[in-house]
Amino acid sequence: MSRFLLCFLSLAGIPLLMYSQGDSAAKSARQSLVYLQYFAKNNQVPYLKLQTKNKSDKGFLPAQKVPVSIYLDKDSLKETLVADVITDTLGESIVGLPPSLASLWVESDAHTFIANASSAADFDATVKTINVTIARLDLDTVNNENGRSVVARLLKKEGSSWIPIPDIDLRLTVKRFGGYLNIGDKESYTTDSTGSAVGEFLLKNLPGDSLGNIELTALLDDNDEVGSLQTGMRVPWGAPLQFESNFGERSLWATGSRAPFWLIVLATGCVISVWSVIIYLFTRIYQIRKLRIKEN
Amino acid sequence: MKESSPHSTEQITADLYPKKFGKLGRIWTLGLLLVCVIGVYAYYRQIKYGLVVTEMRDYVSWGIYISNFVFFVAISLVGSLITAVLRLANVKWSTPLTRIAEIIAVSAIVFASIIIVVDMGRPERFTNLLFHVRLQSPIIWDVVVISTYFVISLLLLYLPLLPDLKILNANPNKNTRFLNRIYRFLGSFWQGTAEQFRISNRSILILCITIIPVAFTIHTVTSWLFATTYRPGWDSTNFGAYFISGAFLVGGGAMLVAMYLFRRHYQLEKYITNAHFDMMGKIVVLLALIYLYFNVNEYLIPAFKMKKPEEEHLAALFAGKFALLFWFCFFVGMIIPMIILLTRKGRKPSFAFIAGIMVVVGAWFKRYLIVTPTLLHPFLPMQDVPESYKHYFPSWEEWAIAMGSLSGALLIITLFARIFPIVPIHETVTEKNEE
Repeated sequence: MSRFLLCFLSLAGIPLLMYSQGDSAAKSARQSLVYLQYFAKNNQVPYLKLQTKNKSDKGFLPAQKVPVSIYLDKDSLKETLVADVITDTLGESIVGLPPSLASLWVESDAHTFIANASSAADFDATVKTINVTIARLDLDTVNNENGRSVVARLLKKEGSSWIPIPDIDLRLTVKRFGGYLNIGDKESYTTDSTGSAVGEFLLKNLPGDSLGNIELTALLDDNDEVGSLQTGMRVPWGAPLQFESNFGERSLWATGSRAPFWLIVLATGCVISVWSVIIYLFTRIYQIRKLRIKEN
Repeated sequence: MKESSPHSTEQITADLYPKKFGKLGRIWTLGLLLVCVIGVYAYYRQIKYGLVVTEMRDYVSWGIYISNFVFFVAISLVGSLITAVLRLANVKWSTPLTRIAEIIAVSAIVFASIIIVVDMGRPERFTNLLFHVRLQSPIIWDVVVISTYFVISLLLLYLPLLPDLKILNANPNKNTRFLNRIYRFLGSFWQGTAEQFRISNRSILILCITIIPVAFTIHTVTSWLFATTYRPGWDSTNFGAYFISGAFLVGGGAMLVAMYLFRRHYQLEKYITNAHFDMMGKIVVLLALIYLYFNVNEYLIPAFKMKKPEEEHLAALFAGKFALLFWFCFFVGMIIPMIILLTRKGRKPSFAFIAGIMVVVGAWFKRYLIVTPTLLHPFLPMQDVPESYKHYFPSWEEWAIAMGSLSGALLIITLFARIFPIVPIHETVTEKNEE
């Protein structure tokens, strides 16, 4: 009996063993990754975008609900903690620089962000570090006899002054339909020794708001030194948009009370003509009935 | 078999006079009533618990109710085909078939109206369609056209019945008291004077002319319920003609079935002869060819282009989940009946009856194929939805209601044949005398 029990337990253990082996095999094939990007919009308070992913045979898949602690310059210190976050269902989180770190932020020209991701159900603990130099992206416009130009200027902090950053490609665009439309033929413009990139504004009759305002935007994407910077300004260079609502007009897609006249005439005409015939036929039946009465 | 023709007016009247149900008739009627009662119970459950008792969900919001509706509308066109088209074409042989065609039309259109209300989750809101008319919507066109077609079909059934009502009223001893009351109410004023005949014949002629465009409209509008919606399988400019040709075919098939059953049950071999089956069979072949032509258009051209968003739908029909049903409808609903009816032997009553059954059954499933697979293949992929949304197979309540409605239509025809002569007595006598 005991031999039989031992045999049964051994057999029952096989699936468990296979499961545990399979699980550890999957774990070893997986590589957990943390992505950290630095952003600054309109030279305001910067923020960080955090992403947690797993690299597996299926590709890069988001790792959700991963606890991550982000520090500024020094790891694991309460005073340098930017935020404790848990990534969302897409494995993402956005973190702004808290006011408590403002003094530390302005103390030096360059900083390091350290993201400590703890292990979670589907994620292995890992650390990601990025270095960022404090920079600003200014935007201005020039009107002359040749036309309109957009000037973007990229500067980095050095002590108490700002110095130009040359040879950086950035985009000069107009914000449009949730995307960015280049202001001219060139895809990007390179900053010169003064940190300036100048682009001629070639867009004509671009629809703006009701006053013709459009939003110019200078974009620097994921630069190794200064991160992602974006600065915008509104200028009245577009064509004023005259919105004419046709909501109240008679149309095939309007409410019943706003049906097109031609449809009302056509449909009513058809119904009236056919039902006139039917009513006429009812009068004929009545006539047949009356004939009996007459003959009686 | 050589068929003898009736000799005297008395014999014709005796042969065609409505007869009491025999044992088989009573069983048949009770069976139909039972199916109807089950259908009513299923509808009670649907009213009580809502449309959740059906398998219709967010994607398949039109299931067999709407397939059944389209089927009923289609089959109702037989009235205009046999009564109006053949009468206007001065075809004499169709006389014994006109009343069968008209009662099929009336019963089908009654249940088309009922089944569309059944499909509504909140039937008490039906009146909103009338109180808040939106002329732009094909739904209101359908309501208008169906009610118009119903009234015209009813008139086309009633007016040629008047001379027969005189015969029925002249024989009160042969009828029950209840039937006598019905006959008196409907036709006691008919005395068969020349003036009454003149008015009646003229009215029938007007009805025959009117019913054809209305019949075309009713099924065209039904097709537009689909074609005005941008979906794979429905996005066609051909749908009106495609639906009408299919409707005439199923109407022709239903006629073959009804002719056979009435002829056999009421011993009408002298009136519904082999020649009638022969002629009707030829018409069904012609209609099947026309419908086949439209089918080739409807499927070959989209298949040739194989637009990406429609690919899944077409693949499911040709070789996928719905392939068996698709090819069943193609072969059993069109090709095989056509082959049977192409031969002289195939146009004999029994073979024609089988061909007719095939056409009708194929047509019912064809309507299912028009409605459901399209709804299961939307342009945008189905994502983050419950598994039940991705499939459709009717619940027992849906089957019960659909079968109940079919039984209801058959019950109307059965009761009509019990109360009124299913082959016009007066017209048969007149034609016999003219010979």
